[in-house]
Amino acid sequence: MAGKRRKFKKPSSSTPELNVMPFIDIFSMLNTFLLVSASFIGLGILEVQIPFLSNSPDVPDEKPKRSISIMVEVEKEKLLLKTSWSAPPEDAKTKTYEMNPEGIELFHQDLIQIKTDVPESEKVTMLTEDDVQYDQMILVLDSIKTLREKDPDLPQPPLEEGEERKRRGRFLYDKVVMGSVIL
Amino acid sequence: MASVGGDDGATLSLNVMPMLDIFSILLTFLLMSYSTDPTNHDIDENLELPDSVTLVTMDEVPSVVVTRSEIFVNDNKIIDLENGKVPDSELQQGAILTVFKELEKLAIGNKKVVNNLSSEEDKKKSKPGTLTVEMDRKHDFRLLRRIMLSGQQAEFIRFKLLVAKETI
Repeated sequence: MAGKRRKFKKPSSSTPELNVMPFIDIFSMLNTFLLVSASFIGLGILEVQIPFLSNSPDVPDEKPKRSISIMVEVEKEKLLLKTSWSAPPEDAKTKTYEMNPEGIELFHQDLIQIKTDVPESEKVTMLTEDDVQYDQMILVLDSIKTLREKDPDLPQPPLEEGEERKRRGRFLYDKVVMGSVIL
Repeated sequence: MASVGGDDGATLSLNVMPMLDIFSILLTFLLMSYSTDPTNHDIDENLELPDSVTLVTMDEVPSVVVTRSEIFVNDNKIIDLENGKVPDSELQQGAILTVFKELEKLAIGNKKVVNNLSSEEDKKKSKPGTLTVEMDRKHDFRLLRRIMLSGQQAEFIRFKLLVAKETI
């Protein structure tokens, strides 16, 4: 044994090759599975309320004596923003906007201004005409409810249990009542 | 490198590295955008949702689906629309009678479920008067108003309107 020399294999001059076929197989399978199960449209919701009649006894009114009422009238060609106060001076104002991206942006900025001036205001009543297209209505609803990235920070409604702020987004006016849905 | 041999003994090598690069990028993109939302819902091909900037994610499958030509309640076809309008025979006091009847059944079922909940906290969370509506973007508000009125008669007062999020 002592006199024997261990023989080592001389390294070959050719470069070793990595067998990438198993990688390709795995990648193909994974890609196929993910492409089949992927959903490329994110689904979201916009929550609205409608007026309703109730038989329950009157709840003592905790509202401040003088509160602002914000009403939005949506027509096919234009938008009307009406504000007034519940006690004198009523200071009723009406502003009209074109139903186009510029007009809706102006409307959104004016709503931000109202919320900044009156942070305790929390509800917008929306009156929509019958011939207004659904996607136009959603556009207006978006500009009432949702704050965009570039918009300033405003007071937010409290989060429900287990809810994440990032997933919920930032609201301008969370509570929208569809005033025209009444018998 | 993969290679194939011919009759003359020469081998042709195929460079698979670019393909691997593409696969890696595709895999990374798909894994990043993979939705982990528990609620999964397929949109009918006869329906196009309006776009919205909302970040609120859908939390329940819609109960009322209004495609371009039909109304479904809980996946059951209720009405065929005529040029996007509800036939006059179906209307009663501005609401849609058959939709109201179906929603009334749904409301009764929801109430039973809520009554069977043990804790008060679960009962508060359940919001039985909420209805999720999925509607084609080209319909007019008249149709949505009729559906909301039908829901109102069945004691649904909150509506979640399903939209396509512009930013995923």
